Amino acid sequence: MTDAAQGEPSNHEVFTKPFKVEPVFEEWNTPQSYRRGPGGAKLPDKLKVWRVQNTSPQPATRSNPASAISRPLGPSHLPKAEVLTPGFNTSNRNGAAGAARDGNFLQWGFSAPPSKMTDAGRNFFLNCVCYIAKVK
Amino acid sequence: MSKRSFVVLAFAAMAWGFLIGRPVICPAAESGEKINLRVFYVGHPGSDREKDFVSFLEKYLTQVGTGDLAAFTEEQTRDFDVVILDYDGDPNKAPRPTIGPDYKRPTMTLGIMGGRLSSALKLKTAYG
Repeated sequence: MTDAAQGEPSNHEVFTKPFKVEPVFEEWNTPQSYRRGPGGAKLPDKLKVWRVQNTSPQPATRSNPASAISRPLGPSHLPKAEVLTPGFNTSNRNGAAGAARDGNFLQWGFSAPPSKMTDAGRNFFLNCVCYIAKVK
Repeated sequence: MSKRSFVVLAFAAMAWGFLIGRPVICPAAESGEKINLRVFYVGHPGSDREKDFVSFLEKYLTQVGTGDLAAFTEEQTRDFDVVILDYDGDPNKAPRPTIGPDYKRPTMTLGIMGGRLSSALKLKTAYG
């Protein structure tokens, strides 16, 4: 996965409680790996993303090997598992998860420590800590 | 919305209610108070990454403990609300903690190490 989450944040509480996540959006070229997936041919040339961390100065063209992307999940996986945000990646499908939860485990796929996260990324991380704390 | 969709959504909402059974313990950010959570950061002791995470978490949370991923046991998590499992460096050399099927502590797993741990535990958050 790259440094970025993909798309507009949902109305999930991990973007609002207790800290408001205010992404700074960019548009990055649609990865070729997305074209091979379902609906890939119809994707626009550029996709809206927001940086969770800053480990590469330019729009990323390849995934960071220290980060991890998880498989896409759908509504049928609720309430046990859910995607919190898709991650922008160059090696997997469109919609693969940058952060996701399965039961009491929340996988944060991004790689950087807090000093290299963006303000939005740090707030998102703290909100994830608060959110998973409530899951028993 | 069809009747079948409504029933599915209602069931999902009920199940979610059972899963999330604890009162919210994170205060509003504008209160300026630390979040009343005890977090156990388990990673690579003495590493810059550990220092980075711990100094950050201590700014916002009431209690932050640290542990060694190589020596992690479920018993160590007993006095914490959230566990963070992390590691720096080569993920191929990261310790692989043993976690049993009955482990229920709220836990965050980070990066590629977390993805591989998720795979080992056969979670939906598995790598790839």
